[in-house]
Amino acid sequence: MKSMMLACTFAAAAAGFARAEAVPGQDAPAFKSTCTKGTAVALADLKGKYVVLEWTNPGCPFVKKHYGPGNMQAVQKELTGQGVVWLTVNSAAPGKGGHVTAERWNAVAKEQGSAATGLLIDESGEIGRAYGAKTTPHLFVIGPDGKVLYAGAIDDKPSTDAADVAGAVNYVKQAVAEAKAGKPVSVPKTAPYGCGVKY
Amino acid sequence: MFKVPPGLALVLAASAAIPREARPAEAPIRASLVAAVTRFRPGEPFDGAIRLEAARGWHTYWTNPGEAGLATTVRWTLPEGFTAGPLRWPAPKRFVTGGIVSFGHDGATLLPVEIRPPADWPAGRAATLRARVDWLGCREECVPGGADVEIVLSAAEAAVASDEADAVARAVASVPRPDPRVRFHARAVEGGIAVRLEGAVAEAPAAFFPLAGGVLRAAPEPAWTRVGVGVHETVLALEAGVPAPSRMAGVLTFAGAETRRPAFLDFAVDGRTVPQDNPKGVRP
Repeated sequence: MKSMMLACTFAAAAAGFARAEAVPGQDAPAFKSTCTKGTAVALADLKGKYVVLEWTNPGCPFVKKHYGPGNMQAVQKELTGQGVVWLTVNSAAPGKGGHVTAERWNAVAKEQGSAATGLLIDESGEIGRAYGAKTTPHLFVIGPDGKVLYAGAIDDKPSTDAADVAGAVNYVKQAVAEAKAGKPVSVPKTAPYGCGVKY
Repeated sequence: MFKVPPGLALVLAASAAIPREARPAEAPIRASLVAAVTRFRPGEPFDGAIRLEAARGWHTYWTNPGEAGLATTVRWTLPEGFTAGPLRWPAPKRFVTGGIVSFGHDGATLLPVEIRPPADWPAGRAATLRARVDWLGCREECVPGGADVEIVLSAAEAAVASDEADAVARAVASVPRPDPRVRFHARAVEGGIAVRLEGAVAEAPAAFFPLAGGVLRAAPEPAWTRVGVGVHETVLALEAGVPAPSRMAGVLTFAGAETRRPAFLDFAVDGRTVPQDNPKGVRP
């Protein structure tokens, strides 16, 4: 049991990314990892699908803003319902606030009603650094061709106030909808807002 | 009902104090509203300030919080005819947690605000200034907080300074402003903005804090190269995939900032040298 959990929590970013950042219009940094339920995940195997990467930290008030009232779960549900692969990533280092074990995170996600396809523990921070993930939340949308479509904030209302969710433009939903309609993504990059990733 | 002598009542109240261990933990951030005056002259602006006190290890955020965090906000509820200007932010400090760089304030910080009372405010009538202050306080973890703060002032023929007057005046004097000694030259280069600063003779430039987020990389801190007397150059790195803007504004601090006020810079990124001699207003 313990060894399986360790396998789940081991995240290895694959070689081959020259940049230390995911940039809209460029190839998304490749990674291989194992989700908290033990399934292997490799970005290369997800070609042909839209992929959303969501950086998270359960203790962060900006994350709570979106999970408390069920906003993040609703977006996950809507997009995974359209065939989008949604991976939630936690890059908190061991000993840092928000670091979780696979078992604990699975329980939290169930309680929250997370509709993510998978949860990735990146305690070495390799995937986070490869993408330039800075905040929780920080979101990336990758197109079926493996190129980054969007990098940045969840929406246009930087705050910790859940009341701001209602009137906000959700950049992730917007990017996926525009790309699926064959249009260029109108807002491909924004400054993310949130707590710093606890590398 | 028997009457308790006032002195005894005080003793009783003191002995009934809550045991130390039952007191709530000290709040990481506390806010209050202060003013340079206890009495103002109607129609004559005076300085107020939001005071933020961060417990050891905690900080709040500047107007551009950097790579993470959230700027402190203030919403005013003022008596009729009063107006409050924008927050006049002091230069921030850099806070680095796990390689993520943010801009903010620790310890005791005053955010000055100019208050303008109406010219027809009656003498002797109290004016209660109220503000809602919301902040994000972080050390490693982050806790959002807020407070409703207020101060009661009254009008007089001549303004009367408060006990806070000196502290508020020092805070106002430390707010970055355009520096006529500084000339700035900026041009877009691959992945960044190359800048040349003229006019930093005695004090070398230190950090540059852009007013807008999401344009410049916060890390690493730009390293300045001295290329002549009072002339320094650096390249401000742009965020990946972000084109150079045509204009930039921000705050430049100097090494040994106690001796030189931080400069507010507003410049075109076009290769022309811009004297920072605009005497109008203090920004941000």
